[in-house]
Amino acid sequence: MKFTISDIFRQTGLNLLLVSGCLPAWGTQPDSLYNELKEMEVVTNRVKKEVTSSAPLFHLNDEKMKTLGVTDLTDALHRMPGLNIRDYGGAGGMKTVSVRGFGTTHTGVIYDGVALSDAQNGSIDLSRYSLDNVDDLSLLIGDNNNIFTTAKASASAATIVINTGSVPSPGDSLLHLDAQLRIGSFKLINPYIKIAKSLTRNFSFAAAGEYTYAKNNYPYTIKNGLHVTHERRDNSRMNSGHIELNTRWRPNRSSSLDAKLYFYDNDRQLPGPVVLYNTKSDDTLHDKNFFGQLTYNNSSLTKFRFRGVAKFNWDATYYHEVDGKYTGGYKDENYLQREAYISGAVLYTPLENCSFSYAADYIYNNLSSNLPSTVGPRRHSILQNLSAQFRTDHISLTGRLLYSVFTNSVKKGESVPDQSKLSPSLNVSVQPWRSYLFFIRGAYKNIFRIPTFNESYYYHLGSLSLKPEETDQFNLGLTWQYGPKNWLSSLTLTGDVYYNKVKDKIVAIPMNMFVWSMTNLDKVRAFGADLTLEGVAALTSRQKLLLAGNYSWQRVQPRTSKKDPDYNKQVAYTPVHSGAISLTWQNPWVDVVVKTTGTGERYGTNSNLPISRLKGYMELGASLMRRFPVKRAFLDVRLDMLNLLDTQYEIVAAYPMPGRSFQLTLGFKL
Amino acid sequence: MKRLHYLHLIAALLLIGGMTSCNDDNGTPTIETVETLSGLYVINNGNMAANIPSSITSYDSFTGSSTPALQDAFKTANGVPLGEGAQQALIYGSKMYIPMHDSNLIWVVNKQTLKIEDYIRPEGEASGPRSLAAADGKVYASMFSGYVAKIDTVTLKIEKTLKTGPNSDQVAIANGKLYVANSDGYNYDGGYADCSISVIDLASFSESKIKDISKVLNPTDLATNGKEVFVICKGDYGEVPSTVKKIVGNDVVDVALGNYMAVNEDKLYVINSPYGIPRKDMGFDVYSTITLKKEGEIIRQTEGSESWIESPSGIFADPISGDIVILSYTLSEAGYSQYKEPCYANIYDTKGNFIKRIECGIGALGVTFVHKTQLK
Repeated sequence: MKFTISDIFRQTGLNLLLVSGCLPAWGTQPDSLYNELKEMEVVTNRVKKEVTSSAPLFHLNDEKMKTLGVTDLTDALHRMPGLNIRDYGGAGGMKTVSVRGFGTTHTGVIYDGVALSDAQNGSIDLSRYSLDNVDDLSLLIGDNNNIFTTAKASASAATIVINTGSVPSPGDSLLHLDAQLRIGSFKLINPYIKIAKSLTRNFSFAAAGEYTYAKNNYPYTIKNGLHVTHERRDNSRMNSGHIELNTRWRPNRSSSLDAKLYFYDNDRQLPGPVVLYNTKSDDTLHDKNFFGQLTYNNSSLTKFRFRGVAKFNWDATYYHEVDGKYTGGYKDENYLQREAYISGAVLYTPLENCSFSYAADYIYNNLSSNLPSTVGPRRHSILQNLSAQFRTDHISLTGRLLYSVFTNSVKKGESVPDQSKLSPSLNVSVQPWRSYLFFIRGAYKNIFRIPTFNESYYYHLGSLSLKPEETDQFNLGLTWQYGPKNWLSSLTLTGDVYYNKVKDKIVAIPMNMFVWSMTNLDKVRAFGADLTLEGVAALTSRQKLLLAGNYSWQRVQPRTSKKDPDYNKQVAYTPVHSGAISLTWQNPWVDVVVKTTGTGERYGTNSNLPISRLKGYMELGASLMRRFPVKRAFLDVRLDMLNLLDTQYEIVAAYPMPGRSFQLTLGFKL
Repeated sequence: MKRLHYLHLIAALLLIGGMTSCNDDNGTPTIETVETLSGLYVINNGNMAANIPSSITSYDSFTGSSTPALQDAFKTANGVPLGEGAQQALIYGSKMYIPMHDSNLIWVVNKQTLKIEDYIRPEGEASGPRSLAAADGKVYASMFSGYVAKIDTVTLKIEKTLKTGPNSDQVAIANGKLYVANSDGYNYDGGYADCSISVIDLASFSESKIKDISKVLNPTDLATNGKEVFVICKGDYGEVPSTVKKIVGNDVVDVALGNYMAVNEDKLYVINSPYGIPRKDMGFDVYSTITLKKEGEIIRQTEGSESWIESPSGIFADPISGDIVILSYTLSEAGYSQYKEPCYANIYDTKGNFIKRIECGIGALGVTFVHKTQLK
């Protein structure tokens, strides 16, 4: 059988423009997501979108995550190359992600079709999102092959796409119930329930709720020269819940309206850094997040598709620190962020192999706080995106121009000047031989990030004159999918090399112990290679072996000045080597997964001072799973063993990570 | 570069010679001692975010040798790291006391070998030891949570604490009184409204306050020659500049703009290097502690040579030798202080002639001079 790019798109039965790497749009597709998922799984067995994507794309759906023994969102991200996860440890610890040497503020997160935002800090804390409700997760480096997106979706150097809350298709009259209870070490208890049903022929809903309590008082060991002390992570409790409601209304075949309501609450203690000889911490952080969003899709005209998105987001953080150094013995910092977001997009397909899209987003952000020095910043952003895509049997070519305008104001004081930027990108993918699923891909993307509210306005720290931080990325890659042949069901390999540049990097310059200031100072150059491998072997008709691995090599070098001690060294907290590998044995008795994640040494300083070194580590884990059919339902039992060798390590200096722990999960699916 | 070593030997010999002849004149030979500078310790704060703990750089004036750059003399002596948040240390008697602000303890070590003899762990509300002064067998420690603790040097126990703060920073003792600079530094958002200088009578351990933010705003540093006391009020890092003031009774008198100072005898050394001012506009000036008049430049420095101070982080004067030590960060090519790179300590003689540069650790903030009492 011969495959070509256009064949692949025809085979899927979906619009050719929506297939390859179209994940960001999934949650908002007019067609039934369940059906799409099924279809996509079929496609996945044939041609994976990781292979056809012209920019690096890595994807995991819920089924695959289970097969690979993925335990949480961070673990899922570890299965993708090029990522550097800043993890402060434990269930309550903050987790942010940087990709290929760009800072965490360059990683966009799209949750159910709309970009999440944190105008105050710039980076998204992924510890807020649990995996239980996630249908699929992907990482996109550079630009999307799917051009029918919001404008904001292409406004980051790399994007993590999370889709949740799928609703049953209108024809599906059954009640869907997914109930799960997870218990684990350090007093972890995590119940989850999801109910989904079609109420009428054109209206369906899904409601999900989840609660997590974890004491998180895991033991850790510190080596202080001659002394080895065994401590426990105190003040680390997490108490978090989230509920959401998703509905879909389909008045006719060609249009749909999706609505989502989301509420999240996390009242957690912050264990703080482990200071030598002093482990005291009484800090707490209470996060609350509410958002509601609407997505309207229309495809009633043959050559046009329309989409409208509206969202309101309200986000509160209450930080409470107990320390005698503050007047009254404590400090309260409360921050409220609000975002209003609307987006309209149109896709025009005049010819079968040629399409254009235009999207315009308007975003309003503001921030208020209890601090007397707060200036009440607000920002209006207008992002416009014009894309064109051309496909033949052998070539796919996608070009994009993003024009961004930012208008800033403050309640009191002076505001950042208005800014505008034009950012181009170009992707190409070539399939040289019809008979092989072998692709050569190349991509260029220019994008920037605007200074965050903290960087611009925080008392004394902020600087009004900051310019956006600019990035350029070049990617060249090969992808190959092979099989089925004999016992080998499939083999997929991807390999990419990249070259990235960051200029006007925003860094903090300390003026003294209390006062820091932000400035556009650094230049950074990154180059590296990302490799992934996935192989499935059928041992017998009922037994399968699945091997999945990734490896990243990255050199992320400060290039501000040749005379500086950090010139051409490795940026702090960035490993040169990192990777993960997992082996799954599927069988009729108990599925077994063995996995390991490894990270090489890192340094706390850009100049890689030997005293600031953090040693590399390997973490080994294993999972046992069994599914029992009970009439039309399933009962799932799963045991996860994390960090089996009890490896002691830190990702962020002074934040020890948990050692060996266990989790038992019981699930019921109807 | 062993000039300091020779200079001190010569100074010591001259002094001994002079005294010997004196004794000969009297005709009653007695055993006399002479105190000389034998070395110094540089206290490096480290940088927690960069995974670098505090450390000590040790320098021996007689051999001219110092701890290799980035090695911790404390860890070498004891096998355990110093901890976090060291800013300065105090030698009193045969011991050196090292307050560790973030680790919340005070190390008590042998002043020559740095071997740990004991430690003092503050309990309760008075925590975060920052700065020390000693008199009459007691060491007084400021606690950044806003207290002063009185420590007995025999039992090494905290005998008494006194609420002084918020954010009690440096301390100094003169004329039977303990001065404490309470910066209220963490209340920058509230304009340092509760800042003050505590004046504590050592005999009764009772406090009075100098509190007038129009005159004393954000006081952090204190220096004394035993008679006069000077304070640096850091201001608000905006409109109110950092200023050196002399404490006169319950009032203060402006001396000069400055953010680092040291006092030796009747000389007040002031460095004015607020953030953002060009290097050429920084001041390194000597004032009279009595007339408060400017008397000249502290040091002779030539740009491009080792005598040049790039980004000062402290000035210290040895009362015995009169030597001056200035700590400095290095500068990046773009002209910013490199807070995660090794610092250096430059030693100058009383006249300001450059003697030696010592490579230090990360975030060098304090210097403690070590003296040796030698028999004649």
